Amino acid sequence: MNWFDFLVLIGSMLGIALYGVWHTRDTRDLTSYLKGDHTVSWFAIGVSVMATQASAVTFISMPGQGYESGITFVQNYFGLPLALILVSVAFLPIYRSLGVYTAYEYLGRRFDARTRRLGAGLFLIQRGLAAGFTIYAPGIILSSMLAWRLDLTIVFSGLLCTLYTVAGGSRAVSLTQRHQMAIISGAMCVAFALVLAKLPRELSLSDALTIAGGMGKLDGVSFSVDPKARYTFWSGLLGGFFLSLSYFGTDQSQVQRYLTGGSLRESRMGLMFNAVLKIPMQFFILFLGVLLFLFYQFQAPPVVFNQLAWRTLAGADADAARTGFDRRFAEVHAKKRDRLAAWLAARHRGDAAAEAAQRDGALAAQKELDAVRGEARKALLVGPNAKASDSDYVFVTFVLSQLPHGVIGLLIAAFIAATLQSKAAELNALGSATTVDIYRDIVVRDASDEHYVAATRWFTLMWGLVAIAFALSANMAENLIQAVNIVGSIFYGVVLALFLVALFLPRVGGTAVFWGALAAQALVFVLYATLDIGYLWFNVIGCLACMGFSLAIQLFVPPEVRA
Amino acid sequence: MSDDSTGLPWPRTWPGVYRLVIVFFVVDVVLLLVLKASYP
Repeated sequence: MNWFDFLVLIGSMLGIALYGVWHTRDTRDLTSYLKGDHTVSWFAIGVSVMATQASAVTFISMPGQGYESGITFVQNYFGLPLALILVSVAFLPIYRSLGVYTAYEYLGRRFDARTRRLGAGLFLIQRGLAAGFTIYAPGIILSSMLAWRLDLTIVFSGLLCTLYTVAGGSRAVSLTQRHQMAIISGAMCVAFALVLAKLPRELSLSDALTIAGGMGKLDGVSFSVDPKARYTFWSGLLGGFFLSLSYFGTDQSQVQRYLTGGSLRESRMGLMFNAVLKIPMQFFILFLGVLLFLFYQFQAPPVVFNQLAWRTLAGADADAARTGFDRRFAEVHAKKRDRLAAWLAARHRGDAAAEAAQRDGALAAQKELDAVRGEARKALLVGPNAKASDSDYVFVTFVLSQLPHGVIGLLIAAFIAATLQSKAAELNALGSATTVDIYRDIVVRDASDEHYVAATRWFTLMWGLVAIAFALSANMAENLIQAVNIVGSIFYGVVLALFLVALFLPRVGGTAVFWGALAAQALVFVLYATLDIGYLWFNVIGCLACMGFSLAIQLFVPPEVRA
Repeated sequence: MSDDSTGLPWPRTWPGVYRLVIVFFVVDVVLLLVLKASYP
């Protein structure tokens, strides 16, 4: 990075933060602080909902997923459009007509205060953990890009984001997310165009897709019924449906985004905007990873993408080992490149037998490359960054080594913007749920709006500091994007069931659903520890178990009279 | 249901948008299948 990159980076970041704070400097009452005055248009809501879900993990880790496993991860989002339709039909009108600040207030009105606190509590635990992930994940990558210390990167981005969320509240989050999303989209499109431009000139689009398909990178739909398979059409449609329904329907960080809508119609349009665009957007990012894979078929990649960890081990022995791995890796890579050229030549001649043979040869060479890489990682990777999946560094390495100055600054600004926008929405939601569902409900009941706005600011600050502390002490899981989804899947099913029981099982009362939820959550913990199945299924299990338990318990408790 | 005032049922003034969302989803899946089949 040079001075021009830093200028682009700092200018765009500070500009957006100051814009958000300036525009919302007069916010005094709780409604506009938490719900943004109901003035936000459908487009702004749509972008805000999308930005809240898309953290830096999405833009850094997802191209790495595409590089390693192709576009198969896109199936994770198959349940999302249907879930958003149900949210907009069933959940949204009720939240709006009851005029709630948080989703859990609805549980309090439908059941009792205890169930409301349970819902809010599960949200706070789950989202509080995820807030640490969303700041830690890009932290390790940004620190290697900027060559800053990891703790400083986390503290810098964490504080910047906490301060403008505290200052502006929900409206500031929506306002700034629009601009951050514009920077991110622009930067990703530029990166996409540049990867395309850097592919060999003689490689046609059809040749490129042939190689990608032959190497198993274009398997976007799998109808396998193996429950252990992580991403299939069925797990994506069913598990993804429950995950998305819970996330968009009951997670305060999302509910708060679409409650800022000027009308029910605006909020719905914002959700439908996401229902249409989410799958193409994820495909685009994964396909960027496939293009990176193609680029590195013709240009040798580093043995290990995580260069900071690769260079950590010092001494003559380590240097000699690195040189040895570099040499072996380059030899196998050259062999694979020759195979690919022969494969394409056979294809152009129409020689099917030779094409199949050369393709098998290229696949074998790819396996050999992976083996050398695995050996190198085992032998030489040490330090705090060593555990993180190497695929998370693929895109970062490409950006730093292949793109022109200015674009590097823009992309790093995009990564930081993505961290800030999803973090800001989470903090905002954590602060408001703590104030409305815990503080106002239990501690101070009848105070002025100024008092609650001040309390929300303090709780937002507190959660910001908790997330920074968690991120500073976290020992990172191996795969970032999966870690976030796994934590969500463990809690989301039960939280969703609380709302589904409230909406669709009118006979079930507060006592039954409260104990049903606790039993179902315990069951999910036990099954997670003992069963080896794709994690998306825990959303389904938690949800169905909670609904079933609630119904069963209701048979033994007297029906409750609702106000 | 066309405004904030009523309860749960399927909103009568909105099915067009929901249908459009489902059509887009089906088209997405079909395109992914075509891509997979064209470049096995």
